[in-house]
Amino acid sequence: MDDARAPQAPWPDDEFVDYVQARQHTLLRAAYLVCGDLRLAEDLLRAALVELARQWDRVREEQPDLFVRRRLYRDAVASWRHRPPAQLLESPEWLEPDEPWDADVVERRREVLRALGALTPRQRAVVVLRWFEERDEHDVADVLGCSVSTAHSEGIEALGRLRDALPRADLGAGGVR
Amino acid sequence: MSTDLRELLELASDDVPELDLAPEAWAEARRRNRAVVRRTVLGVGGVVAAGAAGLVLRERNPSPSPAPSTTTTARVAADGRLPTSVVEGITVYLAPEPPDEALLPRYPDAARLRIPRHLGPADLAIRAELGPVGGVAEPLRAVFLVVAEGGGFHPVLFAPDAPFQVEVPTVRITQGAGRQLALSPRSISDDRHRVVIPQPGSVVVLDARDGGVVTVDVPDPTLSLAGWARDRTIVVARGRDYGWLIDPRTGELRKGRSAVNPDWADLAQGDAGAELRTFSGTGELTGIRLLLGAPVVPNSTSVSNTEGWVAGGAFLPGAYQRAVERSQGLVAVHSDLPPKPRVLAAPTGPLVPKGAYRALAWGPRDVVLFESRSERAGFQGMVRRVLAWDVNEGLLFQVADIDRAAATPGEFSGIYTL
Repeated sequence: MDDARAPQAPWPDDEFVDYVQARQHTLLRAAYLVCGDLRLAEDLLRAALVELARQWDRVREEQPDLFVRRRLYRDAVASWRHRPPAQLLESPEWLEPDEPWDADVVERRREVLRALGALTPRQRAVVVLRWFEERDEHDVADVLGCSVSTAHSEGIEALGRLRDALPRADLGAGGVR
Repeated sequence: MSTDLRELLELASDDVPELDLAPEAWAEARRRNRAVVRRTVLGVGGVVAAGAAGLVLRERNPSPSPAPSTTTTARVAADGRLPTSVVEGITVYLAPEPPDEALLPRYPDAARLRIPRHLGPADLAIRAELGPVGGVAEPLRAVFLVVAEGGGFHPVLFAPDAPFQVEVPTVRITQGAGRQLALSPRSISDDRHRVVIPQPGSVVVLDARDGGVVTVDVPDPTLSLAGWARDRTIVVARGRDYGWLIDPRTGELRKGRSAVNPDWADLAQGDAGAELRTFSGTGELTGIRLLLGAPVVPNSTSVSNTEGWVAGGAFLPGAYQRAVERSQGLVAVHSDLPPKPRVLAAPTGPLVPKGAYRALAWGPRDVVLFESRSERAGFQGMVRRVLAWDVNEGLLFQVADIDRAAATPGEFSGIYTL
């Protein structure tokens, strides 16, 4: 017998809706930070939520957070395997405007995304779980299916690379929870 | 105060839109579950049992790769016509998202532009070195800078009628510390045979026909732009604080009394707002007029043509951001008419960098060629395209893809001019 018992009703289960609505924006942002592509992030989250809905009767009383994150993060990391190597270079020509401009925020955002882009997909997943979703190393290991020591070492290495890529930011011990 | 990594990750993702996926996910889950039940029944009945089981297996163990997104549709008209909006009397044309640029129609008069579909020096099979027997007799269409072994850059000359692109290893251009080297839109002379390139403390003039090089010292370590004035003899160079007028035939050098520019006109930010400035044939300032309409902030080198048009990259503050939610683009103004700009607004989003549009040259009629830069989604690097904007008709076309830039010797530096 198939274990995908839910949903039978044509309208969404209220509890499912509440659960998804409380988390979907954070999860979408997390997926975007891991895979760097908003359309892909939407697709990954949609796929994870469909699986969650299919298993809702079974999972709702247990660990829906772990279920959906496992699916989302592992798919986000796996999605990278099919891509060509990237070059992260930029035209050197740019004349700075004379006055402050809110596009600096856009540029800062891109700096951070570029720094994330220089990490391995799994390192990005560790960074996002640890410091965006504020999960501990045990949760990271559970979600990514690795040992706690691997989650720890990947996090340390990723942090070092982010420090190098973002020299203007202070990512020292005081800046990282 | 230390920067929290969480704050940076928040910043990097704070423009991700809010979506409600719950109803859609529930409906899709229900559809799939029903499909599984139907296929299972078919399997029990013995009809194409193996195939059905395979289908069920695939259904229950879908590939990690997601289905193609259905969230975005192309917003590009087949004739290149753009949606418009009017902001305080200024017509604003809304350029497509970066991935949709590839769907723009090809420029209909591309043969006249002499720009190939892929532009750049990356194809080593068509690259040769300038030898002792002579240079490039054909008119130049573009000049690229490639990374030199040991530092600096070598020019590569591209003439569509010549059999090869020609690298000039005898010319090594250096870049000042902290200064970004650029090739001005007027680096190639109007006769299309001479090239001027700035470097700290001098300008280098290369005659493509014989490979002859003249270097003129300029007492300015901040030189970053140089181009041929409209009189075809004077080179106009600009540093951080001064402009210079140079006659490379005699080496005569003069500091500009006020603003200088090799072109007929440019767009610049003055004390009272954005200005349209006009220049003499020798590059000296002849007039200034304030632009009309909602303010724009010019941000990169302008290009002008003999018909009176001038265009350049600009930020679009205040009124534009409120009305069309776009903050930068390209601005075109006719210098013989009241200086009311026409605006091509670049899209906004994580794929679009600051200064995404840069004017390159004017093409036939009232068509300005410009570079559009954007990031490929998914940390896949930078895309640069040459697009053509017909400022009279409000049409946008694609012209060429620019080769990828790299930092290793022999590779394209990303610096070029048309």
